[in-house]
Amino acid sequence: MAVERAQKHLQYLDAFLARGFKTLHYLDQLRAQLSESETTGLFGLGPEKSGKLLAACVAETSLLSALYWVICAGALLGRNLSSEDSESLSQVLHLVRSCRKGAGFAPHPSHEPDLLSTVSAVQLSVILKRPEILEDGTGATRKYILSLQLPDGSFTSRIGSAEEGDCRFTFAALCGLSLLREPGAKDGGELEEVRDPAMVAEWLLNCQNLDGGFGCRPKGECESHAGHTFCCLAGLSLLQMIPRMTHRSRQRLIRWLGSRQCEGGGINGRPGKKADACYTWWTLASAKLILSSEGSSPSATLADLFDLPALEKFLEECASPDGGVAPHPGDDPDPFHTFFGLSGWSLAAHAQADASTKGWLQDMHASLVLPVGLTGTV
Amino acid sequence: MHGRVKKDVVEPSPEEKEKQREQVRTARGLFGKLLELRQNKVYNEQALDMTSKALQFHPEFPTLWGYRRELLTSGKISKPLRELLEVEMKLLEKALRKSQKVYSIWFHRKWVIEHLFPELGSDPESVKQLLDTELDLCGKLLEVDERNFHCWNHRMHVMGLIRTWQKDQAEPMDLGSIDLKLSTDLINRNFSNYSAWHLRTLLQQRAGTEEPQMEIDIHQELEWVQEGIFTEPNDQSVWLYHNWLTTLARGTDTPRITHCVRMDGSIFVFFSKPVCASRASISEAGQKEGVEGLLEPIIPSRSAVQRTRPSARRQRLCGLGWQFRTERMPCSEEVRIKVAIEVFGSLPDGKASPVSSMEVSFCGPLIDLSVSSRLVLEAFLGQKLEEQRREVFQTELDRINELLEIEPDCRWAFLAQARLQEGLASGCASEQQDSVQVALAESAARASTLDPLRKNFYSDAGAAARARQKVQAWLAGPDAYGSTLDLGSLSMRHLIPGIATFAFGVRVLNLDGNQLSEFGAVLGLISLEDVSLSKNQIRGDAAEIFVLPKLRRANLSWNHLGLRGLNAQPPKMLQYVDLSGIEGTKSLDAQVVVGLLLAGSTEADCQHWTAEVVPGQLCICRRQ
Repeated sequence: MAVERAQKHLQYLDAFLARGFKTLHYLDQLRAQLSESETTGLFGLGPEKSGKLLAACVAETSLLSALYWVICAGALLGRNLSSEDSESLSQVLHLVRSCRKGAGFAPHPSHEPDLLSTVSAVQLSVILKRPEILEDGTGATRKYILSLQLPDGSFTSRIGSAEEGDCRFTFAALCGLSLLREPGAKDGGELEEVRDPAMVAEWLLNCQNLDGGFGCRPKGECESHAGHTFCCLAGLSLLQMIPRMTHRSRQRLIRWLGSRQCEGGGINGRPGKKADACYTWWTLASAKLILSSEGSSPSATLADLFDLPALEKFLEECASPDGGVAPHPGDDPDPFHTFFGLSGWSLAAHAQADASTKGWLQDMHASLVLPVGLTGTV
Repeated sequence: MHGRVKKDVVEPSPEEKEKQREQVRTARGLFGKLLELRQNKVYNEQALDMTSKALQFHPEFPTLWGYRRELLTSGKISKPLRELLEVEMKLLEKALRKSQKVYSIWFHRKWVIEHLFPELGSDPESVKQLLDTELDLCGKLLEVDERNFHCWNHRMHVMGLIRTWQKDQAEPMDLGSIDLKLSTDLINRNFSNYSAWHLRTLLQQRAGTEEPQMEIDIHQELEWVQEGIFTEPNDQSVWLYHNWLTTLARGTDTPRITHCVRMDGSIFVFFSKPVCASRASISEAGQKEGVEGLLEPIIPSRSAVQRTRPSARRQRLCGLGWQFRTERMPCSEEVRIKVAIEVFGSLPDGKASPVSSMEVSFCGPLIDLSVSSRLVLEAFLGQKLEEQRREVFQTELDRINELLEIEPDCRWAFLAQARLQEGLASGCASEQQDSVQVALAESAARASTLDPLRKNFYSDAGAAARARQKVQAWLAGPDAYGSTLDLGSLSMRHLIPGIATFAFGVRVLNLDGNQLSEFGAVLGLISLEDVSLSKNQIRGDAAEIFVLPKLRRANLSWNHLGLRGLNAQPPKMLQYVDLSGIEGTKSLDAQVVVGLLLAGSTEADCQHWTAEVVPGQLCICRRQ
């Protein structure tokens, strides 16, 4: 039963990947045929017509991240792509390599480097066990990520675009830097190469609101949101600074996270919103981080905070019979919800005593967002 | 990786293929050309025009927005910046109507406004116009999706910019009323709009710092909230706001000193919530001049359980209990204490402010713990609510009781009832508080059956109520400090720091058979001589307990503790440590156990100790 279920999801992911590469290939062919004079032809089209079509081109702006969702979901289901001698592995490696732009990575070979794509590339290099696709051993990727830190401690997404710090980028940077750490420094202490880790931690801590959750930026400017809560907490965890939270703010956060489970078992991202499969990850991972950090009550587990069997039932309803996970029961699946739905599902399954449910999903690392067995291999 | 759901990359269907080919080819070409131009740092009007067209077709393109920012600030475009930025605003409006949840578009909007602002000079009319444009846009987008957090966050940011700008203006705009109206309108449309309630709370927290002042009448507010509650008693948003208005005191709850005690020639000051304190002064009744001194947290920072938050700038710690170090001890029983505590504040525009400080003062008894526990009991029973708050609490409790008659299964009402009852009981006599704690434990059990998803929160609340009862009874006893404080088998998962501070002075404490996972607040009870923590789930190292300086006996048996040879010096009077059933001792012989437990003491000291070990069953260390 479990094996069958995993197979369905893998088939869904494979089909998606194959279709994606086909489309990319098609677009590349067109691009090659293109002559300069044609570049202005688009202006003659109505926006509606082109809009639909351009979706394909624009998916390129998060292509590398999408690739990470698909490949990591496969690894989560137990696939060891790195040891396969398959066409899709070489396609994936080729694509990642061709996205490398100087020290960073772009979402697509024809785009410019940015932080999220770079971190996706780092994560892919870990899953595929190909550290060499990253760099030449000079620490260039790490330097690129470090160059995106802003004076207030937070991180921005790309060089020179004057973007303001945001908890998503701050987390992504810390995640990338943790994976790129020298082998000797593994699991050892703070991320000392980050400028003033205490200030980064303070920036993240200031994103917490009175209701217990975290917003996208500090000091009440932004409403609490499960995704941003995850970014702040995972960032703090990578800095090993969760212990800087006071007892009260921990209690408030735990209560806020516990309140995310809705009737029907699913988990929402903010009070009064509908449950959505991807929030299983943001919420459960945050809860796991706060519960397992030093100074919290380790006796409390995810099973104390959530009704996990009810949650699993909701996820079963979101899973399509042909593989893939949808945001809500009855919707169409997509790779984003498949990845985050399955990742959250893995945390739920591994937090329960009954070992029979765990088998089909690897255990996920709550702050590095990779299967635990793969962490620490760059 | 944190993007939204992107649409599937779909291969065009055969019949449309030829038409699409043509379109994709041109689109691809346009984007490719623009990226190439950017890479070559080409800054001219033609490029600006091309990006504008490309972004109209598809606004989800962070790189192109970034290119536009470079173009606008390159100085190579001949038009005045203000004019350019105004064009940008129009382009963005179109983009936002098309894609309302794209970070990069909202960021560009923010950037444009921040650059437009200085261009407007100090002309209030232009600023007002800008504000109107933004409010209008956000209003329209919130009509489409009332919970769009991008839009909410943007609106908050713009309001903050204007708030900062108009600080020096002669006639500031009434921004508070604008926010209040939006919040009211949206909530009237849908009571479950938590985003609108969130704005309402921020608004009231800002009151007082803003000109002109904006005050919300709490009675009217609660009446309106109750309408919502009675209409939809199971809506989470409105109950969260109700809690904020009542129990959380609209976020204005400031820390206060609950009590001060004298023990062994030292003074200890306790707060109602964790504070970051540094200096204090203490003066005796009738004297003006105080004695200055330093404050140090009671729980030492080297302890593994120190879970407080050092600020980034100075390595300061937060805590509930502080030891006052001074050269001269006051002799009188009544004292006045002033403590400077650090506040992590925020500026009106939402940015974190530099750490500022506030003064907390206390006027009352300096309780001598060697005399009696009566005054500590008084402090434990708390202060009566101010008359106005008491009235509010009573009215709300009556309304909620009424609701519970109609809706006996409404768990939100149960929880609110418990909070209000507890607030009203503060400062009342022991008997009354005792019965309230019984009621609290009962409503926790009831809520647990109504909302099994969160049964553990309720079980914690029940355990806390039972612990409060026990501490109260102990303090009321004739010789509290000569008797055992028994908190055994209460299902506690942690010893609540706010309760533990009132047990300060305890010599014999029993916490057997709970579910404690760490020593936690126990380590702040530095008066302890005999502590029993058997059959909990405590992790860490057994020798961490050595921070208790007067400890004679410690029963740590049957926990998840380890014995790693921590370099901690054992208390001088220590005689007995029970380590039976502890993970770290299972396969060790007597001598090794003693060596690891006393790793922080001298070899000569170790020779006084023996251990009785029956592997897997018994492991007791004694000093001869």
